[in-house]
Amino acid sequence: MASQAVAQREHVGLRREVNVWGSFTWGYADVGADVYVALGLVMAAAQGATPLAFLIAGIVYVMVGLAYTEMAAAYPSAGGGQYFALRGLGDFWGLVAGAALMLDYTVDVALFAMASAGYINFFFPAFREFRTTVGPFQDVNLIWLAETLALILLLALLNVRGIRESSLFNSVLGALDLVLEASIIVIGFAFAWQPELFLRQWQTEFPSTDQLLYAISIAVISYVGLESVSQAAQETVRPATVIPRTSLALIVVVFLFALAFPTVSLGILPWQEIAAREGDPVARLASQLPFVGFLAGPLAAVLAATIVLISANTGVMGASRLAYSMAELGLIGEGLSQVHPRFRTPVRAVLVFSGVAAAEAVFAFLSGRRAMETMAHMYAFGAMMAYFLSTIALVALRIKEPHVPRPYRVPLNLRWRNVEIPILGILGVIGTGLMVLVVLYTHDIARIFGPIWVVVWVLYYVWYRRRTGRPVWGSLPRDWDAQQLKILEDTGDYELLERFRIELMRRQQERGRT
Amino acid sequence: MTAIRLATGTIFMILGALIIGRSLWAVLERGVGWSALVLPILVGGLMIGMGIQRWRAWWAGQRSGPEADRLSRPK
Repeated sequence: MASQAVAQREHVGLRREVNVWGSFTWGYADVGADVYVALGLVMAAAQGATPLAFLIAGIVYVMVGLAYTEMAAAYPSAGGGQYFALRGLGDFWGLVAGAALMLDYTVDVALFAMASAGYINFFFPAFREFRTTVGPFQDVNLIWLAETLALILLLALLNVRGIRESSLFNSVLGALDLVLEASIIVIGFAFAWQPELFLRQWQTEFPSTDQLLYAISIAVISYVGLESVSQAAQETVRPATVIPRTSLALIVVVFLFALAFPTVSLGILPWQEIAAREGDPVARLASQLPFVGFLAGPLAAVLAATIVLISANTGVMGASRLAYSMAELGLIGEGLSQVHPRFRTPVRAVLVFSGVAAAEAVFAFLSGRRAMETMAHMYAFGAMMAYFLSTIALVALRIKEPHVPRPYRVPLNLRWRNVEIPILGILGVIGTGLMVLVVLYTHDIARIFGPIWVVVWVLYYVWYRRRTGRPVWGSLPRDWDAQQLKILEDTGDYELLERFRIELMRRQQERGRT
Repeated sequence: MTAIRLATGTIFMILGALIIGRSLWAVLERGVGWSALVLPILVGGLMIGMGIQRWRAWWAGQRSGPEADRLSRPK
């Protein structure tokens, strides 16, 4: 039965149909939408220094982004950060990275479905303000919760149908997102931005160090999503060419927009007004624009609701594809990785992780007025944990596998023997490590539930590996070179494949001589 | 697509200059501390840099033809 399942999985693998635009919008739908959620939350903590919080988080993001670009182009596998960590650091750390990412993807679904409903409620203030008491839980917004659960269900069904529909969905709305965000920034800076207001808030409303640290750790959620490009790698056409272009463009555009949004906001409105609207901060900002504000507010709300929904959609896709990759690598049971014979999508994984996301949404809403903040804490923890392991994996892979062709390399390298040590990669390890500490220090909920989530996965992993007679702390024997050859054959990047074959022959000859 | 990229690049360059110029004016006019200029200069500089990059890529493509433009992309 098990072998039948494996054969079925091998027979019906993931389809390779994501192109440059699809890959960019897949990533942008995820990363670009983050600012719609983060702006209000970060502003509540960082006040007049909000752009500074986004800047510091952004510097870490750039380093992580470059590391991801190198690894996703060299190892185009659906596992993303989890695959890199496993290949660079071994099975156990691959599992930990996978657990952190799984937390992130499921929280992504819950948080962004919640945000989408928040923007829908721009038109229904009564829904936004509705509060009730449920047993011992106070200030619970049951209407917002019901809307969130309905959206999660919709996304689950969409993903059961298949990636073709979902990718098209992402592409169209990703383009609209770009136009909307650029329009708000251009019109805002050109016609409404008051430098005096911005400079006054920067100078007189600066937060305490603890508040700024907290804000930075929330601001990192504005940059989560590069993982999506890596996750889509196994379904991307010619990933060695497409992924570096997509990722580098994403890094620049997202960094620019994430800095521009708080800067333009603080020059148009006092920070308190944005912070008070954590559910729909961008719609509030857009409604303040001159000439077009009466139209821009509602339009921004409609588009933002849709765009953050795409981000939630990438979460569903990401979680299911991560489960597929983890099962393929022997970290979890094969049940979740089974692909539906007709739709060719991992149906079980989609349904299970959508269910987990729904449970997280319920948990968040029970925390009352801090529902979005609670989810943001978990999101930041998962992302930083996975990014920390991934940046370590970048350095480890440079040392362990210097012969694997890399279509893109992180700049600034130090040559040591035959290895090029990435200086920015090491700075990325330090940056993400510090971010993990900041998240644990400043986030009361993530401090408890984040590590519990990882421990539960580790316990399952120990049970599963023992039950299947596999090493728990060690790694399964794998022929990475053979796997790399297969990956390159699948991608159709024949130039890269040829380079790798020549390199393997050269190494074989060297070994023969010694 | 190229025309859109160049048009948005140009708009971003103008905006970047506007942000830096107006912030500088506010600092000189109101006597606000110079440190307040860091972020406007950074955001404005990024916008200008993005616009310049788009024009440079277009210019390189014009000089060397479509083949060179294709080869200049990361592999």
